Amino acid sequence: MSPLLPPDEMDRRDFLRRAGLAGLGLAAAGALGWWAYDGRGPLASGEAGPQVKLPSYAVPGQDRKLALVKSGHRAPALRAGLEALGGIKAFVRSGDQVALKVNAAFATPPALGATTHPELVTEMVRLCLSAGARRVVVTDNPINDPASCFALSGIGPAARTAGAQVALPSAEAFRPTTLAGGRLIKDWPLLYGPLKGINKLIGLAPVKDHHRSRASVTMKNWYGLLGGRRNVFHQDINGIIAELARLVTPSLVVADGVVSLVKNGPTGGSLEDLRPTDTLILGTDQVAVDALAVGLLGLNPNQVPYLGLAAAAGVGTLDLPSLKPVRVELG
Amino acid sequence: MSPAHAQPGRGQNLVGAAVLLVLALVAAGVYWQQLQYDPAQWGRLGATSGQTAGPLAAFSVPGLSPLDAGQSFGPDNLSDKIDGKAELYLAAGFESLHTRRYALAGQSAAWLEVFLYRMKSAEAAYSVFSSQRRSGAEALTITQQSYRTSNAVYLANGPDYLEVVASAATPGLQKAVLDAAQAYAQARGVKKTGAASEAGLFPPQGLQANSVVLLSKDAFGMAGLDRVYIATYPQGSQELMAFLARRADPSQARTAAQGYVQFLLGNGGQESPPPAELPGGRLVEIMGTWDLVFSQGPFLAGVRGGEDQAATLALARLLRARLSEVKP
Amino acid sequence: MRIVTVRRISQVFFLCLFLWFCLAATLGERWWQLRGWPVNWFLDLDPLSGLLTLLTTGTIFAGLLWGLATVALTLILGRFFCGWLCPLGTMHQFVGWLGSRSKGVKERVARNAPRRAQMIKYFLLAFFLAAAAGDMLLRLGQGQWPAALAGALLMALVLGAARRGRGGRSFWLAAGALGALWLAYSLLLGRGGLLGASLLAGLLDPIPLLTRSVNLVLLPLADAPLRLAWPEARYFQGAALIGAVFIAALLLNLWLPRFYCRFVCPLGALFGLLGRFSLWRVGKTQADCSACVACDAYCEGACRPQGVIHAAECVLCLNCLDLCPDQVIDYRTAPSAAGEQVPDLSRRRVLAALGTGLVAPPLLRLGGLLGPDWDPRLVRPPGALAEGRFLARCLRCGQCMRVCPTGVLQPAGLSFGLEALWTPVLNMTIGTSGCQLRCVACGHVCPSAAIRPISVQEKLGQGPFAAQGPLRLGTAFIDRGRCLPWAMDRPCIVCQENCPVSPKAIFTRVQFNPVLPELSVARSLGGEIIVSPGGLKPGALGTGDYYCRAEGWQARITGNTADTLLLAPPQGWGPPGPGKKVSVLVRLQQPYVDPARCIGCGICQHECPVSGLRAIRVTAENASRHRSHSLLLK
Repeated sequence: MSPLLPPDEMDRRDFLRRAGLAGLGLAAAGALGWWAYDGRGPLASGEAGPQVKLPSYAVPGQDRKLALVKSGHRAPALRAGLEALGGIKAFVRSGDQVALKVNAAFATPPALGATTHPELVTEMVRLCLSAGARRVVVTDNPINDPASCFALSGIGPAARTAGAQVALPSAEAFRPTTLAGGRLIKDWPLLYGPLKGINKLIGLAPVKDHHRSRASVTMKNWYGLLGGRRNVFHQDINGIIAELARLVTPSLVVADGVVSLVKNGPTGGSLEDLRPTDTLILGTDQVAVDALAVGLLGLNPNQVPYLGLAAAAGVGTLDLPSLKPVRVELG
Repeated sequence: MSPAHAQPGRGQNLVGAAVLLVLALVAAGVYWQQLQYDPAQWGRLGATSGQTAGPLAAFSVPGLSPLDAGQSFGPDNLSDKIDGKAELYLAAGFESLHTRRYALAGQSAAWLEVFLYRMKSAEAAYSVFSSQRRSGAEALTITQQSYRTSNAVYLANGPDYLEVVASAATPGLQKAVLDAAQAYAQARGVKKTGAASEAGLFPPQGLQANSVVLLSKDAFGMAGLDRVYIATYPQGSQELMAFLARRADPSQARTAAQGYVQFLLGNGGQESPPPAELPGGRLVEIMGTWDLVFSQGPFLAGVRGGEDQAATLALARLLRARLSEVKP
Repeated sequence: MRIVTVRRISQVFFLCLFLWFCLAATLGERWWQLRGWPVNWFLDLDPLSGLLTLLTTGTIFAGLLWGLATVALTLILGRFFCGWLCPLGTMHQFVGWLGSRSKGVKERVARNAPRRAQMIKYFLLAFFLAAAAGDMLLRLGQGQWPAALAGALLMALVLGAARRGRGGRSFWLAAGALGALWLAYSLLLGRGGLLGASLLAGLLDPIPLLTRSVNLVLLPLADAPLRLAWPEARYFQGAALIGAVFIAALLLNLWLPRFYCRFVCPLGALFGLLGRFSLWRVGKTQADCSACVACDAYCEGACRPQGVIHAAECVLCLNCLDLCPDQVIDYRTAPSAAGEQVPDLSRRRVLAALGTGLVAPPLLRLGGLLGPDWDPRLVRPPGALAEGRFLARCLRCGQCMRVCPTGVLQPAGLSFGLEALWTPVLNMTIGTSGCQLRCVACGHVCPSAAIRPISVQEKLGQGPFAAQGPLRLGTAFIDRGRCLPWAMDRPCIVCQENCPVSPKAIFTRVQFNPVLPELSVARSLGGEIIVSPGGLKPGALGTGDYYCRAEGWQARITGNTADTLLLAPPQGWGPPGPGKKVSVLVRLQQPYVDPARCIGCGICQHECPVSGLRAIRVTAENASRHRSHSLLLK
């Protein structure tokens, strides 16, 4: 501060300096409040709860792959689609430990299309084992009672028969996780137990209408990795789906639109809610796979906000031609 | 205590008054806050949760045997059963859900599940019934609002909304879902439908059967646009949607119509000159289709989604003619 | 209206509001009971609680966000909280006024002159800050940057204020060494568990201090005859110490007004540092005045407004502005024309305080209370976090103890370790019962979620929480050396009867024990037998718990005289003939605890008729919050 300045000018300068600092302080307080606010309170779990962080399960060199198979039969469609992407061996190598995240959300029969179809599970397990996988685990944290969900959806018996383990969620299987830079997934329980030791993660999801988010495909499928009172997230369904897509980087995702649940999702109920759409979509880019799949529900990707959110966050792309999708027609 | 003090100036008086005002606001805020509380928090358990079938406990159908004891859900935990769709019911006015699984005698693989939703009102039940109606289903006469699909029966009955869903579409199960629905209707008695008389005001010419739906909350994505009836009119390859909503009086209907037009304009709509055939109507082009909005007496009404302006206008004229016949 | 009158109205208003909240924190729905009264509002407004829990947990829980509003207002107005709002400050000011009434101007000026010791509060703040930031480097590794940012800002605030001492080479060497030690400790030993963040500030933070003192000392004393806050007289263990601290803090005002505010209060220190940037401030409009020192004589903050004002010490009492006969003191955006002075903090001392704070939690934990030597008497309320996380959040405000309907929640005394002082612990004997099965009130009043706001469903392990099972506070253990049916052949099943868990966690096994030397049958008359030797106490065996047994035969005794036993219809063959030996047995139901069912509520302990050291006692083994303290495999 120069002593040559008149006193008024000094006061003004000092005031501006203080105003600047106070403004910075206010901004810092506001930012801290915005970022650190926690209306829920801490989780019960863990003594000083060690957090877990999901690794990336992406297979090096296999990014930006997308294939679409037109077929009315799941098993041949899956085989053809994988062939188009370089074969199952491009994703699963000998000795791998593979987790299949299915959608077993509801205790409904396979015919209602609200859950991953057991045929798809059987074929994927078989392919993984044939590629030399040491272990295949099928898991989900369903909405309804887990044992009945896996039994009634047919996924449990199908997986076991094909040689996979079925991992039902137990209280010990959940560990807190935080998405770096996330707004919703903070210190939240993640279904981590079944993923221990796993080095490949494949998502198998049916294509469904969803009352809250319009469409439920492979990104929404990761919702089943959350525990706790996760339905609080329904207030920001698009936000949570986009964050889930950032949290989980799978080796491969498969959207089963051979039959799609086009109305009254995600539970459906009537066979009349289903429509044969004869399409199976596979890829390593969740956003692109889902963007193709919502077309089966008569939607365009702009109508499903979480696709844009996830693309903006760098999870994948909505520019489908840039991925050079492979199209396969089976008779 | 003090020896002498200066007379307070105007600034002091103003600041003093402002501070006292803040104190009054704090007191008012505290008083308001103490009214906001949830008595259930202080130790009472929500009455509608747990492993009981509630009204389904005594429900039995000849030839069907229960697979489990059934479950009940309240607004707090509805999403434990139908996560993803719970909001549809909660927005319409939900009280409780009771579910139970039954199997055909001797065949545990052939089963069905009964979902009994108790809604806050008959209208709420009609709303969830109509907004999930499956097209091309076969109407039934079990209650005034009931239909079947290949594997299920759905019905609204007073404040109840019932779904009976079978695991497959076999003849045995098809009969069983019908039996179960009928057994319910007999036990509960047939009640008045929740569809208000508005539902009958849509012009019958060209109306698709069973297409009237009551949207109970935030219709067409517009917050606050509640209790709107919609109906579908197929026109060749396209579909027109007529809608109407009764408001308390004509002035409120007018305000609502203007609000909806503003909503359309705010979402990328372009207003065209008002059509001569329909004085007072407002024509908006949005995403390549025509929306026509007007008010008639206590009704807000209109037609949505027409690709052809003439067809839109024609249906709107029919609708307005019907509405103008309604006695105030 | 004079501005000081408005200030007094504001002070009385907030003090009354505070006391009202203390009274209204009574479980219930009537207008004077808990309902929706924001009983935590003062704790929420206290930014020290909010900012330090942000440091220890990386989050600001629910209402604590209010603290940021206080910070924001302080940045604009200065220490308004101290002079206008703080209920403890109001009490101090009142007692100080009592002590100053007879003093002349000269003595008043001396009592209200700035003192070097006023810097102590800044060192205390630095100490608490560092104690809460102990594991901050670890959380930076976990991506919790809001906490790290807050920590960095607060450290910058404290260190930035310390400008005295030229920071010669030895200072930078010491600072560098401390930083390096901290980093090394975080990186090498972070996983070891000693490094921790502890929220010790609650011991001296004024709002938790006052809340605790009113809830656990003043209110129980006042309510003893009134019975408004609690239906029965309420006792708090160790209340004397809490009360002594409170009374001492008040009485010190008789020596020097606002003693606590000037020398001790860490919250005041935080406001003082923030107030350096405040837009409005008290000061002179011109350097010269008649020097009547009326302002210095009545200054609450001891900031000497007549001279170079100690701006950070000003609590905005505005007495100076009110009293100045020359009207040269104003509250305005420009600093005082006579000059301003920042806190006279030496860098070395601040560094020493920070270093001590960093070392404090590891030092406190070296005793092993958070590790192998954990104290099984430390039974925490339902929903309490695991001990380390709990101590990172608990403000020691006593709200949980205030709201607890049975008084089972008590402030932990020094025997639980310094770090746990005045945190909530269950004492099954002092209250009116144990922890009530369907009550979750403590978690819902806890301002910092040290006790999580659980639902009754979660407490009972129902609905979505069925997989976890009920929340256990600990397990009841039977002391067989003190238990009546185990040690003294006296029938008693009080604990089993009072167990609220369904199915009961306490079960009994029947045992028959001989209580008299064998008797010979003199005569046998069907329903009664006459025995020898006689000398039985008449009626003593008729309680229904006594049986008469011979070989292959047993009957319940329904009454007796000195030599006759009256019998209920017997089991087995007919009564023994004359000359046969019979024994008199007592039927005991000896209690056992099923650890899979026991939730540790302590109701059995409360009801146990062995009224001193109970024969069944709950300790923290198997508590849900510590998986490693489990008794069972799963």
